Amino acid sequence: MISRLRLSAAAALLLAATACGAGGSGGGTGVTSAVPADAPPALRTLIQAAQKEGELVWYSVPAENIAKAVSDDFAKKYGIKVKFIRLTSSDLAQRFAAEAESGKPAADLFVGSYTPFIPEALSKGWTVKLADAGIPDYPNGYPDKYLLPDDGTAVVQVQPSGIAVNSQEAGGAIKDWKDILDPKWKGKVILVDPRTSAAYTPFWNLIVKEYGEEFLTELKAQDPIVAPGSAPATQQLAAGEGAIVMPGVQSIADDLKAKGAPVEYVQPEASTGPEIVPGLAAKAVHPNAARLFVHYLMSKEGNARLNAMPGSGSPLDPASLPARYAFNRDLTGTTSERIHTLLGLGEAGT
Amino acid sequence: MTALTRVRDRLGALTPFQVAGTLLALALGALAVYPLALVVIRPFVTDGRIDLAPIRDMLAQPDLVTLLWHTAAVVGASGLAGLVIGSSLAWVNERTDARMGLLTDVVPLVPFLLPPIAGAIGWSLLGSERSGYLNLALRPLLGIEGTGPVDVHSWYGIIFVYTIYQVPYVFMIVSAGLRNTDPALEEQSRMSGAGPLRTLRRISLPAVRPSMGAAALLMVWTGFGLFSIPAILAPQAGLDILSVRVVQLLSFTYPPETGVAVALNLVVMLVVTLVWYAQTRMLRSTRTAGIGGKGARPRPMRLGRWRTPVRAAIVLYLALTSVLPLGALVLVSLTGFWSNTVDWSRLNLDAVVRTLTDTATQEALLNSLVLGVVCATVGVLAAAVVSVLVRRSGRGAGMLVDAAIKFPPTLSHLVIAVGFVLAFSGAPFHLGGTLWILMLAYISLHMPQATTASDAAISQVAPELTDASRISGAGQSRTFRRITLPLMTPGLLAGWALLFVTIAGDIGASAILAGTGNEVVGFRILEVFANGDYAMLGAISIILTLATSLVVLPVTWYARRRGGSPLSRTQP
Amino acid sequence: MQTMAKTDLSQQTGEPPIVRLTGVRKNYRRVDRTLAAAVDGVSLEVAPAEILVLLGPSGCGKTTLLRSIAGLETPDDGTVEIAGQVVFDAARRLDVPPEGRGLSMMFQSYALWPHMSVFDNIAYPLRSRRGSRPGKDELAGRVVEVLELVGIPELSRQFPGEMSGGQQQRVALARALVAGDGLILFDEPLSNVDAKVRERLRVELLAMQRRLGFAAVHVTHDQTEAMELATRIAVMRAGRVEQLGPPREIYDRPATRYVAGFVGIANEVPGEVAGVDGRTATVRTAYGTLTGVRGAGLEVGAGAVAIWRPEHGRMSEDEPGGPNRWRARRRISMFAGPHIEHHLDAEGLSSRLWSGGGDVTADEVWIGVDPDRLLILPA
Repeated sequence: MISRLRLSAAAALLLAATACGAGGSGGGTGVTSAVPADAPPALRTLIQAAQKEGELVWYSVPAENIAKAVSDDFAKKYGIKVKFIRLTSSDLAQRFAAEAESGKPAADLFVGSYTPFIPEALSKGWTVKLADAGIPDYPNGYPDKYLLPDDGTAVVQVQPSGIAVNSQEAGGAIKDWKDILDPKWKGKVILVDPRTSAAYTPFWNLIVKEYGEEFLTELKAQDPIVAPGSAPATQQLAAGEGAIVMPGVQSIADDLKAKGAPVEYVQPEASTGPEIVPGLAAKAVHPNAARLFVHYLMSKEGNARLNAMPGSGSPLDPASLPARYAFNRDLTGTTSERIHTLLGLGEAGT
Repeated sequence: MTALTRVRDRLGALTPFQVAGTLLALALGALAVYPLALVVIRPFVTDGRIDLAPIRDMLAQPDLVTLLWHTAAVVGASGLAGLVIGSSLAWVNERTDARMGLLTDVVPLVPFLLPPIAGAIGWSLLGSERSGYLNLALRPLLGIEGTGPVDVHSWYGIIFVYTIYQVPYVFMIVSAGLRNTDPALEEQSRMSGAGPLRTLRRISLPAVRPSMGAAALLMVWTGFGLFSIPAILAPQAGLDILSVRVVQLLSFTYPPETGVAVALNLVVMLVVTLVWYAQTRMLRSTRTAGIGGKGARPRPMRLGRWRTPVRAAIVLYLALTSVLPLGALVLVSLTGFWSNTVDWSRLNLDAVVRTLTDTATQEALLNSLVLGVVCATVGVLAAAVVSVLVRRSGRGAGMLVDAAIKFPPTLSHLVIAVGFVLAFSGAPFHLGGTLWILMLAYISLHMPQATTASDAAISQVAPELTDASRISGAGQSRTFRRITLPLMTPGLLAGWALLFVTIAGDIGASAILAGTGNEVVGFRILEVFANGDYAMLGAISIILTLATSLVVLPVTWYARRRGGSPLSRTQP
Repeated sequence: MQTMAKTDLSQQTGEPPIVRLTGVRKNYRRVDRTLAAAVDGVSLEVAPAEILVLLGPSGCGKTTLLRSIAGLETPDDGTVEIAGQVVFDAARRLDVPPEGRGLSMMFQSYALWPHMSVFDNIAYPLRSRRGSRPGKDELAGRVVEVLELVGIPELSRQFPGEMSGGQQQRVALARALVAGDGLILFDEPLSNVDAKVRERLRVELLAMQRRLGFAAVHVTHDQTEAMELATRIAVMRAGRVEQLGPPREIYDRPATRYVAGFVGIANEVPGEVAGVDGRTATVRTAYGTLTGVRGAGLEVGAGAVAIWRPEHGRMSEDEPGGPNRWRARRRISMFAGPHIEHHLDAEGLSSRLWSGGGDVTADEVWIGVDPDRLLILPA
């Protein structure tokens, strides 16, 4: 706790110091974009400090095209060079943890799935609570239910899970989760292996909550094809190896559809999915740019950019979310081991 | 005599070469052990005391027996198949008139040029039950409806793909061994009335037993380590493979279950140790046997009526293992996605263009090739020095250093990569996010391959050749530079090619160590895979394969030319 | 035997020895993990311009001893001096590496470097020696000279893999000669070529040694080779020098049954010492009492053997005079060119005898051996 206070104090000091330095020269050196005229003073100071740092490095769980669009827009808006790499949720945790522990985080912040890693990173002092980070006007009217004050972060993107179907095999026949259990799909359901990441646990909890554990045993009786991830699963779907992918990811399905593949995405009303949250690195090389980036992601404009692609819901735009969206934090009760056993999968973990 | 003067005496007796070599070996040992210790020791120590709970947890895994059985069966069966196919290919190419020049020289290595993740995807594109390209093509020919006839997501499918990646090791190492075995042994066998097959079985194979031992060790080592192939092919087959389970334990949730994962890896280490022990014993007992040619050029054995079928079988094997998966990747890259109907008019080069114009990919490709060349060169040279020292010192310290260098990489590369971050990313080294940290990790992770190749190379240099140099007045360094190294060159070049290819396409360590400042191809492939863009994945893999071929094929060809000329007669 | 070893040439010539070994011992571990001595406390000296041949069956330690002189083996005990310099001293932990000992060596396998041409192979010692490295022209001159000396001037650009065994051998010899060292070690260098070539090379080697005047330590298991080449022979047995002396002495006056049996053919008649008197001894055997030259270590009443060479026996149809005669049955006679070899049986003992012509036709014959030519040695 004390160290966290000291960190935020240090951040504030840093802000003040850089603000003084930048004030004299009238903006960062070599930065082309001006500070927006309508920005309140605290924001102006942050922008100037960020521009002085000139660069931002972040780790992204959102897909590459989205991360790129957001980075480009942010770079253009503030004149800050942005670098990112795209990682899966578990790689991100491994990597960020190792780097933070070595005392030299390569990323100034990450934008990743909400998993047990998020509170863990905070408790180890690897990240800073957004509320304590000195982000101007935080949370600035951000909807309350998307704020996670205990974990020091906020949901900036929701990726509801759905069903991807092969339009030639099952076009129009699948509307909701329970349709998957129709015996005619026996051997044609592609199950994305839930053993690969804990991020699938809330989803299966939702299914249990909606339909009971029988859904899982009946799904097991459907003799599903186990795929090692959403990407290969959707490719298999396109090729006709199976007719249905559960859970499906809309961005991947839409991408294949755009290339002419017979793939469609169905969004059942009841859904949950990866909830994407930012995490500020405590020892970031570019702390001000990172704070400005979080400010941007939580702004109307930035958040819209982040959630421009179909398949992601914006907390600032309730219409972009499925009708009965359930939060990850409310979906507990069935352990991952139980889920794997019910689905007839070999166990990993304790 | 006081202890101090004794120490000085000892030091005085060491030559600069020994000092430098020993330091190098110790540095390599430290590079392998230190990062690992940072990750591995922690779960086994609670409150300053050794805690064996992870081992208990590992043994308590409900399906441990299934897991070990599946893994052992896949690694064992593919290893045996690899040994049979690889040494047969080597023998045909080295000793019979069925060889076809450059084709049989280098093409057995081509499947190896395809990074395992691309190979696995290629095979799943080919051999999936319903929509695999191979099944789509075969069904009309065989008059089968529905599914099949091939299913790559099966015991035999996975063993088959493992085998493809094991054969090149055997081929390379056994070829080198055969090249240094006196063909008179075989000619004698033919004179005694034995046919080609009997000669192969009774004479040629026993003569290259040390090489086969080295190949077996390398296969066990890589077999347990292969991750991409089982990760993509095994879940659907219902097979549990240890390398996949370890990664699941490490990445399913945070904090990772490092203890159990490492404990599982200890099982692998145990197996590798046993094979290693058997292999060193074998090397020792047969070191001087079977070799003695005095410059006689082997005359290819005439296979007679078997020549055409043997050639046909080789061509079939090459087509099956190289052309098919590459073809599948080309097709998916031109189609844009995996489809069960190929609309030839819609094929396009979009993915290839996207890949070639993508600056991140260009940079990654360049970095990977440079790292491949640098790390392979450094690694092989270092391995050569270590092998020479280990051979000289025999048991004891030499074995220990050898083990320190060889064993750590049997652990999951994910674990080791995290260790490298902890060891070198922050103070005092500050190598995080640089090419240097990748270089250190790549060299350390690939030392087993490098030292296996250099051990084989040094075992083919008769000790008298270095003795003669010492007698001629040359010191150890000069002897190493002028005699040992040149004589080891063909074997070392083969090892270099292996290292270059695996490093250029590395995925395991790159997943954690590569990033914005040090993008490499393996990492790029992972990014593209996670995005579900098979078309671009295919394009990158093909470009990588082409680029590595352009480096590896000339090197292999040169090594073979040197190896095939009278110059290569490293035995006096 | 040790007394014979002490009769070293250095005391006769007054020149310091080029090699002096003192108490050299080298142990090795047997398969059953017990220690055994490959070289068991050997002391000997080699005079300048002398060819010392180490002769013995395989496993007698002769090659280990040679490699200890070269610095390729590290003895467990003793000292090695070369040209007055101590190069190895176990007590002082002094061990000069091979490259610092200033000697040359020719290997059994020739050990030619396959990646170097003949020229480069031979030039290597000149290029590698510390100190005086010859200039380019001088180097080429020396190499050509030594190539001519060994009779292969035309092979300079060839590679070892492209040559016959005999040619390779000459290259190896040239490489050993090129540095002009005072000491050259030969490790069975003539064992890998056929008999004709071997004989010619022996003559050439001797001629070269006479001309260049180097000292040599030559290891062989071939007694003819040893006899022809050696100034002195050291017959080795189980890591020790059994007898050291000039070839004639070794042949005519072997100190032990082992030496007698290893060098040349020895007919043995077992018996018991009847008496000793000055330089002669008598021994009771199945052939009667025989008189011969007294060997060392004989005791009256103890077991002994009377030994004679095939060429020293005389065969006749009539009973000869002299003390040593017995009847024998001739089993077979074989014409061997210079002599005829007769295989004889007498009192259950077989023996061989060489005679000049076919003078004897009977199968029952008399054998006689001059007492000067009969050697009495302990059993």
